[in-house]
Amino acid sequence: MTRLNEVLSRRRTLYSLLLLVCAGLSLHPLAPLERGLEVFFLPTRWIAEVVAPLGWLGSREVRAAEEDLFARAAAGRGQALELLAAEQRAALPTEELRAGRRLVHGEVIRRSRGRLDSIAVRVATRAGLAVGQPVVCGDEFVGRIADLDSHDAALIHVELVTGKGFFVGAEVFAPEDLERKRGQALVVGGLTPEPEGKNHELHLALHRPRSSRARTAGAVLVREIEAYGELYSRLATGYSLGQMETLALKGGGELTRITPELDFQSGLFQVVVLTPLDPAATASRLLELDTFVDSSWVRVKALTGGVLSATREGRRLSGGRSGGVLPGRAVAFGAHFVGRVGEVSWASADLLGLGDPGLRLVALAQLEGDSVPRPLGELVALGRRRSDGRLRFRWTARVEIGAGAPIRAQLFTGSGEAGVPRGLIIGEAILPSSRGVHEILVEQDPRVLQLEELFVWRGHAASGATRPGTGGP
Amino acid sequence: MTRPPRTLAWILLVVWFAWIHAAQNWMGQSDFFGLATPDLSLVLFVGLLGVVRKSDIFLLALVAALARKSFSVDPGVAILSGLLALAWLTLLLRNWIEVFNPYWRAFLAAAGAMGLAAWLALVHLAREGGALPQLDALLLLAFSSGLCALALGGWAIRLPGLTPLRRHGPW
Repeated sequence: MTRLNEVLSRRRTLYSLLLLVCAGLSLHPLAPLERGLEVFFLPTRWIAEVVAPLGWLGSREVRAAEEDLFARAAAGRGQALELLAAEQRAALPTEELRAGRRLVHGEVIRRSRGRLDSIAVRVATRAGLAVGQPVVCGDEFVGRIADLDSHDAALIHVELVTGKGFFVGAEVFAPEDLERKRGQALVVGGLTPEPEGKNHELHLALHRPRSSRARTAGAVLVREIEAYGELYSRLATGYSLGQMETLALKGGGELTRITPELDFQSGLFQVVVLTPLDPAATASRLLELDTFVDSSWVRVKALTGGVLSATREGRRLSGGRSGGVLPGRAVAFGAHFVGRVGEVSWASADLLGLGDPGLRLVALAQLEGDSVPRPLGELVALGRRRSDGRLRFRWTARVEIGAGAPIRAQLFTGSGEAGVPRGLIIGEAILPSSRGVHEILVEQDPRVLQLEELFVWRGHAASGATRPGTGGP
Repeated sequence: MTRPPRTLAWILLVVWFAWIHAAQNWMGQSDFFGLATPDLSLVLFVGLLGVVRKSDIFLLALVAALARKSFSVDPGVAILSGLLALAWLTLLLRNWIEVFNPYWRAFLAAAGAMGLAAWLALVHLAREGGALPQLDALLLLAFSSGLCALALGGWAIRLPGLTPLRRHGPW
C-alpha cells in the first residue's frame, strides 16, 4: 500500500511539474523546447485530414472563388507593380539634389521592434557603397550606412538620424527666407522627449549654444562641413530634416524641436544611398520588383476546417518547416494578402488571418485621385466585425496624408516587415487624414478565407529569376 | 486480449474529436450560433474525465490536445497546458464530488470552457498582443457549454467505440 502511494505521489508530482512547465512555456516560449514539442504535435497534420470529406461539400464554391480570384490576379499584379514603381520613383531625390551624386536604391526589409535607430536595407547593388555614406528618402535625410552585412551581399544596415548617438550638421532657415540664403548653424540628432505624453509622435532633437538670436522656427536642411564630418558627409548637404517649431511648456520654459516629414518608426519603406560619382561603379540603379516572381513562393494546401475560437481567425496549412514554411512569412493568393504564418511544425503550420487580433503588418496606401502611394506605417489587427465582416485595425498616423476630409484608399503591404513582401493587396479603407491613433475599417474580399490552395513567401528571389508567370501566388 | 480494443478506442476517440471540432467550427461560423457556440470538444473531454480510469487521464489530455491543435491556431503547448490543468482539477475533485453526475459535469464543462478560452486569450495576448478576453463572451460560452453538457454530456460519452475506455471499478 505504501509502495502504491509512493508511485501515485511521484506521478502526481511529475504531472504537476509538467503542467507548470507547459504553462510557463505558453507564456514565455523558448525556441529549443518549442522545437522539441513539434515532434509531439506532428500528427496534427494528419488528424485534420480525417474531416477532409467535409471540404468536398463546399468544393464547388471554393473552386469558383479560386478561379475568379486567379483570373483577376493579373490585373491585381499589374496594379501592384505600377504602384511599386511609382513608390520607387517617389523615393528618388529631385533633380537639383541628384547633381554630382550616384544613387543606389534600396528597400527597407527589417526594423527592430521598439528600436528606432537602425534598419536593414536590401540594395540594388553594393558596388561603390561604404560605411558613412548618407541615406535619403526623396529629399529627406534618413541616416548613414552603419555596416555592410557580412552574410548577405545585398544587405546594408543604416543608422537613423533618430538614434541617440547620431549627429548631423544642419542649418535652419527663417520661414520668410524663401531663397534659403542665410542659415543658422546647428547640430541635429536623436529624439526629443514628448512633453504632452503623445508617444506616437516623434520629433528630432537639436543641439546649439543658448542665444537670444537663435531661430525658433523654419526649415532645417543638412549642411555638413567636410573637415568635421565623415568622408561622404557633404553628399547629404541640402537634404531636409524637417520643420523647426518651438513649444511653450506647461511648467514654464520652451522646447524647440524638429518635426520630420517621414514616419521613422514604421513608415520608412524605400531609401536611396548617396555615393560619389565613380566611373568604375555602375550607374544609378533601382531595385528590381520581385514580389510576384514564382520562385519566391511555396505552394501549400489549407486544411479543412477553420479555428475553434470565435475571436480568432486563421487556417491550418499542410506545409511546414520541411517545405520551407517559416513563422511570420506572408501568405497570399492571386496578389491578395491572406495573412501571416503563425506557429510552424515540421509538417504543418498555422495561418493567422487579417482578422486575427494582434496581427501586425506595415501598409502602403494608394489614395483615391493620387498617383503616388503613401506609406501608412504599422497596422495592428483588432479583429473582424461580425455585423458586416469588415476588418478593424489600429493605425498610428505619424504624418498627415491629406487635408481635412477622410480619403478612400486601396491598401497594399509595405516594406520593412521581415517575411512580408510589398505590393500585396490588403483591401479598401477610408482613412482619416490627420495625425494620431485611429481605428480604421478595411474591406477585404471575404473569399480569400475559403481558398484551399495558398502561397507562402519563401524570400526574395536570387537575381536572374524568372518574371511572374501563371504559377503563383 | 484487452489491448487491441483499447488502442482502437483511443484511435476512434481521435476521430470523434476531429468530427466534433469540425462541427464546432461550422457552428462558430454560422450567424445563428456565433459567439454562443458551445465548446463541444470540451464537453466530450469533461464527460470522459468522469468515466475513464485514473491512470488514463493524462493520456486523455494528450489525445484531446492533439486533436484540438489540429483545428486551432492557438499554440499547441498552451492547449496542452489548459487541458492538463482541467484534468488535474478534475482529478482532485473526483475525491469529493461525483463527476459523472450531470449537474457537476455541466458545471465543470462551463467552468472549463470559460477557463480554457480565457487562458488561450491570455497566451495570445502575451505572445502576439491580442485582446483581453471579454467577460460577456466568456459567460456566453460557459452557459452554452454547460447547457450542452447537461443535455448531451451523457450521450457524448457513449459514442460508439469508446466503451473500452470506461472504467469498470472505482479507479
